[in-house]
Amino acid sequence: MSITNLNRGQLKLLLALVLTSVIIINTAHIVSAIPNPTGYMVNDWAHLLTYDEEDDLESACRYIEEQTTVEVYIVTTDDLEGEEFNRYSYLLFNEWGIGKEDVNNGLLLILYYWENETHYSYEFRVEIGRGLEGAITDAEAGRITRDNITFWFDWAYFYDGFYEGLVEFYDEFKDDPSVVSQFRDPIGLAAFRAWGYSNPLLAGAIVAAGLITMFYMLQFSLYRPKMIWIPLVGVASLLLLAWWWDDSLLVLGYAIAIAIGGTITIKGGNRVRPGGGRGEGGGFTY
Amino acid sequence: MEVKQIACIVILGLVIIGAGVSASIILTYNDLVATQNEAKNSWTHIQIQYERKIELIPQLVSAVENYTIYEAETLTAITELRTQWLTLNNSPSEQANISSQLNVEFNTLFVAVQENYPTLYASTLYQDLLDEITGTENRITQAKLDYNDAVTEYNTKLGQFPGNIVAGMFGFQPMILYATG
Repeated sequence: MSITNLNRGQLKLLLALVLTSVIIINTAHIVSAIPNPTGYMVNDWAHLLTYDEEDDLESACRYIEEQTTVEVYIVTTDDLEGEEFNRYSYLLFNEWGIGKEDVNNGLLLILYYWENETHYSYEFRVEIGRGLEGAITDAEAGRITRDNITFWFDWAYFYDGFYEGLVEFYDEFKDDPSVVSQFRDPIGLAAFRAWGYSNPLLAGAIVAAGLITMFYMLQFSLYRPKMIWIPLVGVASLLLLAWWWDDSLLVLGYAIAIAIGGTITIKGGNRVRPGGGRGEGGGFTY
Repeated sequence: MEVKQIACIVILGLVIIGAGVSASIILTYNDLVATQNEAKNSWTHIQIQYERKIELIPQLVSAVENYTIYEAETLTAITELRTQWLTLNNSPSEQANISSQLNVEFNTLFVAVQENYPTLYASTLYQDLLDEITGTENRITQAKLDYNDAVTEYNTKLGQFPGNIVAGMFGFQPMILYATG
């Protein structure tokens, strides 16, 4: 019994099994309570800022990043997901990877806010990336927090606190060349590689299309044995391409799964048709 | 089906299985080494933050001693603890012991300063030192939590299939968590 003798239901089952196992293997990560990055530098989850204020802070953060490559994030939250506040901010800072990789120049202003019928209360923390610790020492951060940030928060002027804090922190590191990242967005081949790394399914589909083509060329080479090096070299270079894209072989795994699945779906479906060709009255029987 | 065909399929199957097994052994081994190194690295982070805390003590003592004639006992205790620390041989339990004793003395001193020496408490130098010490203490806590996370990840990989087999083959040992309290 070979794979082409299976009927359609069995083939679908096989394909489903292969695909589910690939998906299960790839989603077995450690689940963390920290929310995912939103793409914004200002995340007002406790709803303490108006839209205009959020916009304003967002563009201030973007401006700082343009000028100095320092990434300043602002988060307000009313839910710590069961973590202690210190741990929550530390985890959020690290899991979001705030700051450029080469110099660790991230800064996170995080506010935990809660209220009852009559009063509000808050905790505030500044998380400072390792690369910024030279420019902003704990003592300076503490002084700015007391004099320029929580000073306003105590009177519920949240926008003013954040804005003044931004200005003061920016003053601390704006003239320090050691916080400037040399890291640029990848271009050309590196960008292509990064794209494949972050979209393994699409990259896998590209490699799979190549593998299927090479498979057909391998069949053609039965008639032209001298040309067999073309598909062989092709397959080898496709495997290398998949490896180059992703060391953990995720792309390669997807590519092989897609190639086998696609071949079974297209070719296998034709093979299991009993009776001759279209004109000979065979037709489909399942 | 002919015998040749069957033999061919069997050999092909064996080759595929062999390649799969050796690939998974290599990947698991590399993964274990990486996780173990990460755990070891996060252990050094705890040590570095402890050192930072110890290095702050002379500054604190010199800032405080001029103001507080009555807290000489506490200051002496702190200085002695620092000397003890410097003669330690990186034994984790003793480090933790001295660190917690230091925290007790720090607390006594901080409360005393806040209550009895308003000029000192309000001075920028003292506030800065207080911030530095609190920040360092927080860093030590986070470093310990990070270390435990890294060790747990490593130990889990060591216990799970196929890590347990690879660990047996290459002699990986589980690491010990940093105990609390």
